[in-house]
Amino acid sequence: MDHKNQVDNFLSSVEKQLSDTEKVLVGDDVTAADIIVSILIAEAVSRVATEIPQKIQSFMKSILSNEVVSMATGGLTVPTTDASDNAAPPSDFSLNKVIQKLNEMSISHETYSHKLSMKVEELLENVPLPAGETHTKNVFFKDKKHGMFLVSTLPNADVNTKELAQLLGLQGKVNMRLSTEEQLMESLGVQPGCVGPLSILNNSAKDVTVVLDEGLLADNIQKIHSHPLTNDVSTALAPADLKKYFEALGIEPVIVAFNTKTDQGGKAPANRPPQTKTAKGEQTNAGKQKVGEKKATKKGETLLALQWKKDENFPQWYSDVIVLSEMIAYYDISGCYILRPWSYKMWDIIQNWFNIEIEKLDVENSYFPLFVSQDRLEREKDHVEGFAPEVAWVTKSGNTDLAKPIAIRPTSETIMYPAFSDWIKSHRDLPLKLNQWSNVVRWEFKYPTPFLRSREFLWQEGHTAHASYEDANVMVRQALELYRRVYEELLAVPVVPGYKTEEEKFAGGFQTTTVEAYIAGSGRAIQGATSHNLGQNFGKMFDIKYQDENGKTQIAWQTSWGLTTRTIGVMVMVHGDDKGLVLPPRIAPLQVVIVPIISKKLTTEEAKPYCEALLKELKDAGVSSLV
Amino acid sequence: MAVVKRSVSSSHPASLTALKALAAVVGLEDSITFGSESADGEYAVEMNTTVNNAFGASKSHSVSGFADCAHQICNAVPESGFWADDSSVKQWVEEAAKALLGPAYILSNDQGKTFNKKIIQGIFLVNILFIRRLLVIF
Repeated sequence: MDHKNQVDNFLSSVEKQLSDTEKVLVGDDVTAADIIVSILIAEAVSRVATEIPQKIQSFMKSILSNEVVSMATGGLTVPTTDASDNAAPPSDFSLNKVIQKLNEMSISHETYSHKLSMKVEELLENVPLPAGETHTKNVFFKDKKHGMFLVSTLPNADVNTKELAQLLGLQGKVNMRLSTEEQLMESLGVQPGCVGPLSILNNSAKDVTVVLDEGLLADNIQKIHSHPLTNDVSTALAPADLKKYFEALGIEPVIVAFNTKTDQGGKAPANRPPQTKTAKGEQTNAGKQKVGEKKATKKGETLLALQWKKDENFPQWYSDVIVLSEMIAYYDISGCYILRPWSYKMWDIIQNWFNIEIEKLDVENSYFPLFVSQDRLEREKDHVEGFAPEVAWVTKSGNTDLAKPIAIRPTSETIMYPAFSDWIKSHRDLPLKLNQWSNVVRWEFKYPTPFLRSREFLWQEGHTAHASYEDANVMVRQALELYRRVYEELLAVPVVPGYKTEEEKFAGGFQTTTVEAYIAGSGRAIQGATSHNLGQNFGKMFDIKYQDENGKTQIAWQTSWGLTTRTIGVMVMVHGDDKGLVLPPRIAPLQVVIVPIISKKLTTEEAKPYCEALLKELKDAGVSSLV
Repeated sequence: MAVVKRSVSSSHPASLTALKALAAVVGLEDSITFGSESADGEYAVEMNTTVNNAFGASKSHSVSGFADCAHQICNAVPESGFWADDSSVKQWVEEAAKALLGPAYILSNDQGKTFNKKIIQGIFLVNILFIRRLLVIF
C-alpha cells in the first residue's frame, strides 16, 4: 500500500469513529489519543497530498490551532521536486491574513515572533518594550442586549464591566460577560489568548464594537504592539496607522479613558476625566455625563466587589478574593507576593496553635541559616543536580563578586542534617525533635498562584531522629494528625489522611503520609501537607550514627514533615463564595465587630460604656473583637 | 526530594514533535530533553527515565516505541487524565503511529520541514495549552 492510501485509510477510520456514539476521540475528556491523532494527521498530511474530511478538520481544530490545521489542509501546496529545490522559503508571516491585509493597505508595520503568551502579563515578561511602545490588553465581552465589544487597552488598564457600561452609555439592563471560546472564534476567528484590535478584520458581520483605550492613542505612544490572530507573533503599528487600519475596514472605534491599576492591584486615582469619544475625536454625550453623575452616588463604585463568580472563572475569582480582601498584594517580581497583615495574622494563628501542639510532643523550635555554601550544597551530587535549576544564588556583595556564590535554601536538608550528625553521638541524644519556621526560595514555577505556588514561601519543617523505626513512625503519625487538625479544626476544611503511592512518596524515604483536600471550584484534589518516615536512608547519607545501649553503632531513623502557607489558599478556595472571603471563626483574625447603632435615644457617649463592657467580655472569652 | 530526568530520542522528527506536544500539554515540556538520532538507521523512538534519589541510589528505566513513550509521558502526570484508563486510547495512539509516522518519516519534503518548524515554534499549542490551563489551575 502506498503512503497516500495508508493515510487515507486511517482518515476513514477516524471519520467513522467520529460518527460513533461511543467516542474515544473528542469524548468527554481530551486524551493522549486526541492529541497524538491530531498532530500525526497534520504531520502526515503536510507531506502526503490528500484531503482531510471536514469532520476530521473540525476535530483537529478542537485540539490544534487554526493555523496548523489550515497548513495541513492546504495552506501549503505540495510542490514538485524540481520546484521545491528552487522555491524560496515562504515568508514567516506571509500566510497571516492580518499581515496580508496590512501589506495590501500599504500600512507600515513590524511583525515578529516571540514566546507564546496567553496573557498580557506573560507578554510583558516575554517581550519587554522600550519607552513609548506598548502592548495591549484585550477583552471580548458580550451583552445580550447591547451586542459584542472588543476592548483594547493599555496593559495596566482596569477593565471593569460596570464602569465600561457606563463609559459607553449603555442604557437599560446591562449584563456584560466574557464571551465564550466559541463566540470568540465565530466573531473574531481567534482562539483565547490571541485577541487583539487587529482581529477585527475577521468580523465580517460587523457586529462587534471596537473600544480603544484613550491611553493607547496618547502622544507619548509611538508604537502599539498587538497579536495578528496568533499569540506567538506581534505586530507593531503607529497609533495613526492603527486608526488607518480601522478606517480602511470601515470600523469606527469608540475611544474610552480607562483608569489604570496600581502595582498592588488597587486602582490608581482617576487623574483624567472619564469620557467617551469616537475615533474622530467627537465626544459622546452619554458617557461623560452619566459617569460623572453615577460615580458619586452609585453603590459599588469602590470596586470592592468581586468581578468574577466562583463558578464563572475560578482562578480570576480566587485572585479577586485574595486581593480585594487585602490578604495579598502583588509584587513586581513574578511569583513573589506580599502577605498583608490579614493573611499574616492567619499564619500567626496557625503558628501559635501548632507551636502549642508540637511542644506537647517535645518538639523544639530552632532556626538554621538561610544560606547554604556551594560546597555544602554540592556535597550531595544528586541533590544539587535536582535543585540546580531552581536555586537562587547570591553572587555579589555590593559591587564585589563573592569568591564563591552562596545559595538561598530551596529546602533545609543540606543545612540541618550535617548538624544532626554532629549532635547525635549516643542513644541518649535521641530522640532529637526539631522544628523550624522559615521561608524557602524555589525559582521554579511557571504559573505561580498566591499561597499555593510562589517562588518564596513560608513553612514549618519538622525534622526528627529516633532510635527505632517504630518511634519514627509514631512521630510521623503524630505530625500527620496535627496537619489534619490544622485543616479540620482551624480551617474547617475536611481532609483525607492516607499514604502516598510508591511513585509519589518522598524519594529516599520509606513511607510518605499525606492529608489531601478537595477544591470543589476546580474539581481537583490538592495535597494539604505531608509527613515522611525517612527510614535510615538519610542517616546513612549524612552519617547520623549513634552508639546504642550495648555500645554498638547504629544509624538513626528519621522523619520530616512540612506545612506551608498553602493552607490559607486552600481555605480561601474552599470557603470563599461569590461575595468574597468567608473565614471559619477560628482562623479569623477578627471575629466580632461591635457596631453601635446611634440614634436620638442612644448617643455615642451613652453607647460607649455598653460597647466597651461587651468588648471586654468578648475579649476575656478569647473572642477577637473590635468596636 | 525526587529528581526525575527524562529524555526522549528518536530518528524521526515527527515522532519527537508529537511527543513534545504531548509533553507540553501535560506540563513537562521543560523537564524532558528531546534529541534526535541519526535518521540513517531504522525508525526508533526511546524514552529514558532516571529517578535520582537526592539521598540515595538512583533508578533508571527506558521504554521504546512511540505508544509506550506517549504512555510514559502521560503517566508522569497521572492527574492530567490524558492516558485514560481505556485500552482504546492506546489502540488509537498505536494505530495513528503505525499508519501516519511512516509517511511522515519517509516523505520528507520542504512542506514537512516548514510544518515541523511551525509546530516546534509552538503555534500548535494555542488550543491544547488552553485546555491545559483549564485543567491545571494549581
